[in-house]
Amino acid sequence: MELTAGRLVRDERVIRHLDPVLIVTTIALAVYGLFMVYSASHQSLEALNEDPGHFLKRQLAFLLLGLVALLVAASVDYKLVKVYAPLAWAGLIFVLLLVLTPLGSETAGAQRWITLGGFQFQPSEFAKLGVTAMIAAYLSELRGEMSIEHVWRTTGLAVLPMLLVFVQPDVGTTMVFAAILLGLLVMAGAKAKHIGVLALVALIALFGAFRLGVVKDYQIARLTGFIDPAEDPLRAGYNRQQAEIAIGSGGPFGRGYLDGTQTNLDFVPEQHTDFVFTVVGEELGFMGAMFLLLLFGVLLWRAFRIAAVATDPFGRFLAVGIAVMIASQMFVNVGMTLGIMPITGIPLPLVSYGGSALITNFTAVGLLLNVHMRRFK
Amino acid sequence: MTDDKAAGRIKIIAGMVAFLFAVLSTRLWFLQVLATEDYRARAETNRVRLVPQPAPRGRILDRTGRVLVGNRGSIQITVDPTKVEEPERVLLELSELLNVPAADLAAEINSGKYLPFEPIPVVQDVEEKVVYELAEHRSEFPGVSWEVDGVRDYPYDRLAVHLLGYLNEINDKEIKDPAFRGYRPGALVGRGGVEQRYERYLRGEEGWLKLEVNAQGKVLDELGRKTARPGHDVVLSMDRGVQKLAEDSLEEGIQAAKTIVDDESGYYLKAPAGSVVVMDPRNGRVLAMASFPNYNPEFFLGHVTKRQLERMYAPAQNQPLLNRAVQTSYPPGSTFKPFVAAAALRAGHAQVGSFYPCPPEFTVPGDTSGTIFHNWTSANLGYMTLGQALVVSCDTVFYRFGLQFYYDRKKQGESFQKLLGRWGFGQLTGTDLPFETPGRVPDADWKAQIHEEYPKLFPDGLWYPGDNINMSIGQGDLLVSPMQLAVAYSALANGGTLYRPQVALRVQRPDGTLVRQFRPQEAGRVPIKRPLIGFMRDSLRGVVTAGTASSAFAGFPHSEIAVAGKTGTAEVAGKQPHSWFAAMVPADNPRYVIVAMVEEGGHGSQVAAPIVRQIIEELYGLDTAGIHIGVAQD
Repeated sequence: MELTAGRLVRDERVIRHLDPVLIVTTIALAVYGLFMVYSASHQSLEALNEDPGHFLKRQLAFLLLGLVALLVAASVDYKLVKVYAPLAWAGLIFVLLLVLTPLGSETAGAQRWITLGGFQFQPSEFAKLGVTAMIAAYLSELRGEMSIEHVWRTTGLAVLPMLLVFVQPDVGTTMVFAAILLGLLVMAGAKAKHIGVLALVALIALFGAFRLGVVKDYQIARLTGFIDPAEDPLRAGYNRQQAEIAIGSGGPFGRGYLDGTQTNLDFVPEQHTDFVFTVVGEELGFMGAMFLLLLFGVLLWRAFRIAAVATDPFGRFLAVGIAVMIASQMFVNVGMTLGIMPITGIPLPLVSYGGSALITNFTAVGLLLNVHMRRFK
Repeated sequence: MTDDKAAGRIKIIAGMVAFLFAVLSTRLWFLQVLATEDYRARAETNRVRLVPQPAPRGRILDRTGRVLVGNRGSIQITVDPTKVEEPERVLLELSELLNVPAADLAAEINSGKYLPFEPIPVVQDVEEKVVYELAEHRSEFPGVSWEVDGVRDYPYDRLAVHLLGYLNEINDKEIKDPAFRGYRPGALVGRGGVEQRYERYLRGEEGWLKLEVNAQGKVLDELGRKTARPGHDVVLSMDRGVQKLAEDSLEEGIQAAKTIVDDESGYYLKAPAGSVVVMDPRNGRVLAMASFPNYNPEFFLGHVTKRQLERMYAPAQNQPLLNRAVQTSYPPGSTFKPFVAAAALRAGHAQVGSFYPCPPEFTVPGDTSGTIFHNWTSANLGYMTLGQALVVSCDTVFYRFGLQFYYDRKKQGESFQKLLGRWGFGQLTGTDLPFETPGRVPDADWKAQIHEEYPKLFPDGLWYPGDNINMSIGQGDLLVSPMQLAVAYSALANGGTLYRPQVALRVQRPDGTLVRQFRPQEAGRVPIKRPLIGFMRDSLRGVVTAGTASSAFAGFPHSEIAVAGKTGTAEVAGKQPHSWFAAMVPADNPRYVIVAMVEEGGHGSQVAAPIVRQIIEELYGLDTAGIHIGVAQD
């Protein structure tokens, strides 16, 4: 910075405008995740006579890849993202269709993955960011009042990927799409009554989906298990009960890192992925859980701040969309482990084990930095 | 979109996100700060599995140490419902293999008595070949397995089943009863007899193994253990040999009775049931106790359905579960006369040296209703002493005593009943066997009350001279259990002490060290002077040598072994008479009191006396010619 003609002139070099708080918070969450993934997985891996650090090492590799993705996403001017957003969107729709073909692979009754060269990808993870970018691009082009037609068109951009994800089935990601759509519509100034109409149509569609049997039995069971876990403790409600027991038994200060019995003895399923928050709750207690939420709070605070200081509509929509994407995933994920949201397979951003999600979220943070850095152009 | 508007909307969205954080934090506070204890406990329940370590039940031994009830390994078939595929097919095939209705198997599986993941025992004590069959076709029976479990072993089969009792699963009501604290659903509990009465000694203490398990139920670690303490052995005063000959003689007597034609009805005697008590009069210890019909104790080892159990109590099957020696009471007939004589002596209505008329009929002086009380014989036997009246069992002599007690009522109240009560009649003997009946010594209050309760069955509520007169020969509404009679004769035999009859001698550990000794328990003195006891026993000797039981004891070596006894033929409306006999041997210093009773077995001299004779012959190692039916003369 230099003083010229009595006025503070900003350094125009973008690299000087990184957001260190955002970077530190992001990496802190990912490292927190590494510890939790190790705690969640080492015991089971040992029992199978495998390297107890197997998942930890993989996640560390994903983290490094994620940092690369972050750097790339931060360095290319985000206006280019807007230009390529339609292409990315179309590409993602194509890949989501591929998942449903025999090329996709199935786990636990859900067809969510594509295997390529020995690596499994979960396109729905990337799709969240792609759809956010696409909607942001569209909304940033609108001028004047937000009409009902604009609302429908915006919704159209989200509905197609939503449907493709919904039939995998992946109710959790569908909910995240809905949250992103809602957040961006609010941001664009959609009228409350229009959003109301949209919600009504969504409800009718959802009801129709149930009636037509598009929704699988296990999904209904999971959703009803959320309402009454005691009804079938061995199946639908079992995960929920065990997650609650793990978190509740952690108490204020936790049972100590690597000392959680629920965690070590496999009572909570999917613990290094979707239910990773139960490890935090059991082993590090209320303090650990609140610290994790605090990190998310800081991350989102930075994201909203970036949206507020963004100089163009696309940057603003993109930042808000990413904030809502991370916030809604966090809420749905943590909420399900606490028994206040239905059990849906959705990872905790930056913390859960899983390459696709980690890289997507690092890319998202990269885009946030991008918007932040280029706010003076 | 102006920047101002944008900033406002961002605030709205950020506010919504902040609200979500508030929701999560509140819920976390509730789960982790407020409800920690509850969830800690549930996490503990998840992780820790208590595996009960059963304690072997104590044995029941006879007085010489012979094992009457032991333990042995038994194979039980278990089903783990979480592993059963195609439950219907498996159940049907299992039902066929085990020969148990599929509905019963399903009922056991769905009983809810067992924890999830715990294999449910569906059938106990199956034959080994069933296991071979299962092992051969394992894949057809997923989730079906077998375990070896300890069950009761009966080396002498049916011997003394009523005395010993059996085991049965604890019921829903008991499990909530604080008396059964520590019992788990499905636990076996002693029923009837020694098994029930000495449950707390026999049971032992269950141990446990505390294991850490993971979600798949795999055991990872042992967290602690408590070793089971085996149950104590109970040693009985009963002698296996005496018990055997009591049971055999009773059964032979009952078979013989069925060949006798009842002179009243003209039909063969039904003789469906009976009992024998052999007691040591010197201490009230039970040496043998037989009840017929009996049952196979193995019945309770296998699968017992409710219906099967009900049949065991059914009157149509003669209630084989019933221990008739203590649980049933009957009119005692003339076996009661010694106690009436004792009461009459005590009250001054009779003297040893006096003579009393024994006419064929007796009427209450001044009674105009025409009620006549008959002697058992239509012959006029003339005047006789009290002793002779006992020997020939003259009813009319005793009617007189009964009437005199009736006259006493104005001044002395129910003195007859009070005197009889002191011989133990109408009250519990206090024996260590469950479900004892107190019998009944009727009085005016009882008669008034029962009339009020059942006016149809008891049409008259007033106490008449006839009530006392009937009671004086052991009839009317009087009811006595064979055990009560044995206790009363024991008092006569031992010089006047009323003992609480006991079947248990001591409790000891499996290694034989003493835990508890049961001493003879005196319940009181009977109301008779010592010299009169000698007179009574002498008179009752005459019954056997020259009186009503002389035909039953024809050829008995009286000079070697002196037997004193009394026959009884109890009339019951609508039934053939019950046959009774009570004896004391040797008469001058009795070591045994033996009471035999056969329901609808005719005269006491016909069936009960020969049963007792055979028992005495065997006890003394005499030659026995088997049951020899005596002449009906009482």
